[in-house]
Amino acid sequence: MSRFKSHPGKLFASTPPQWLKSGLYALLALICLILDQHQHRLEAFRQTLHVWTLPLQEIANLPMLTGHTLQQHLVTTEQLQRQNEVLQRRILQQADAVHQVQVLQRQLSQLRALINLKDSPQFPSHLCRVLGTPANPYIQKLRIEGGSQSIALGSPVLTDQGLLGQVTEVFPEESEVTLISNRDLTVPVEVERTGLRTLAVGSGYQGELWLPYVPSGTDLQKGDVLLTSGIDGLYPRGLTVGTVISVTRHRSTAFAEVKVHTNLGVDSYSLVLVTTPAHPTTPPE
Amino acid sequence: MDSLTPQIPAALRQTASSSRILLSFLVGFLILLLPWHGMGLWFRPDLLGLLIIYWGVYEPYAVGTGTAFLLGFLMDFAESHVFGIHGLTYSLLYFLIQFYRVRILSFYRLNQMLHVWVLLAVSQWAEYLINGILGYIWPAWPLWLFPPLTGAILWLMLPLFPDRSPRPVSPT
Repeated sequence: MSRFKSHPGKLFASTPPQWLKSGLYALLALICLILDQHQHRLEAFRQTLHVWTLPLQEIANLPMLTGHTLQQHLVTTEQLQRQNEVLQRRILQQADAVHQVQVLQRQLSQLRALINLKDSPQFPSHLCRVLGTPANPYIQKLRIEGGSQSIALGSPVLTDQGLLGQVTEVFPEESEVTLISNRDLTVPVEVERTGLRTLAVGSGYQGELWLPYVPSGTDLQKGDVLLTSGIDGLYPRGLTVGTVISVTRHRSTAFAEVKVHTNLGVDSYSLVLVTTPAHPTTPPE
Repeated sequence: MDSLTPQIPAALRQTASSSRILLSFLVGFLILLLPWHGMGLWFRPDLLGLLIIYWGVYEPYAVGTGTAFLLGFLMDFAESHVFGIHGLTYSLLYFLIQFYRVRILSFYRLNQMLHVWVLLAVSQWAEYLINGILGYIWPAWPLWLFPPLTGAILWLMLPLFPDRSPRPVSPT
């Protein structure tokens, strides 16, 4: 029997040349690019990688977290007292406003009941700690604590300054927020002064948005404040989105070029508020 | 007589252990995961790219195109970006490394640094180009200039790291 046992000969004279290997891998990378960018087929792979590299991420988060802890420990009593005083004063000032709002809300729901209108949706929310930003200059994202247990995909994220963004990726332990200045995000807004409803699209630059398809004749000027219009059922109505910084009207086009600045400094937040979307939807990425 | 005995060139023999190579990639990846942002991002060297150059030059049989490609995935994950971008640029980088490998091996360190700088710059700019084609913004000018430069300077500091390159084994 052993006579017939064949020995595998050398099938290839040499290993494939480097250009062929690199070319094939480049082709594979292109296929991955298309699968991820256009069809979102690699989400499961991203989740798996996240779980695998969890210990490394914990280590990488340490400097940021110890920084926070150190800051908390190195505060003097005097500073704390001053801060406490300021906060208490603010609570007192806001208590009055909250009381008025409660009265108004009761009246509003009574009036709504009179004309058989449904109550506007309530959005429960909870606080989350910011872990950091992904080291990437071209996408505006934020990593926050709290994973699939507590955060729903597509939840709006707020700060005291207004709308910050939307949760676009939920991992088991943490989530990723796409900021409103990200190129892929669009927010339905209304102009506070005139009530004009339009869309604000992220520009891809830090803290910058623009308004597409605003006719040249529209009453819109520098300094106008934009609020969320709430018509998408996702963002609560009336959150500050940004301020118009320039309106350029060209003769050649029918639309004005409107630039909007958010009044958020992303780096300065350690806590954000994550609310629940009224109708859980998939993010528009 | 020693000089007459046939020897495999030191550069072709794998002398670094696989665990050391793996550990270097692990540390590189860990440094990438740190919260770089703002000005820090300008000077963040492409550590995985640099490691691919190093091992691609000194241990081409241990670290091949496939490894470079897989590391690209890790990089995309760390930047939470579209998968495939760094796979593409690292494939290109590895091709260039093998093209210039013998030349880099024969040079002294300062001259090597120039090559490393060019390699890092090409892979970085290729990445920006792909991002541009995908519709993302063009990064500010410091991001074109500084990261490859920091990487090249790190190459200069190689003698500071322990056990930096394969030593020729004396025939005893």
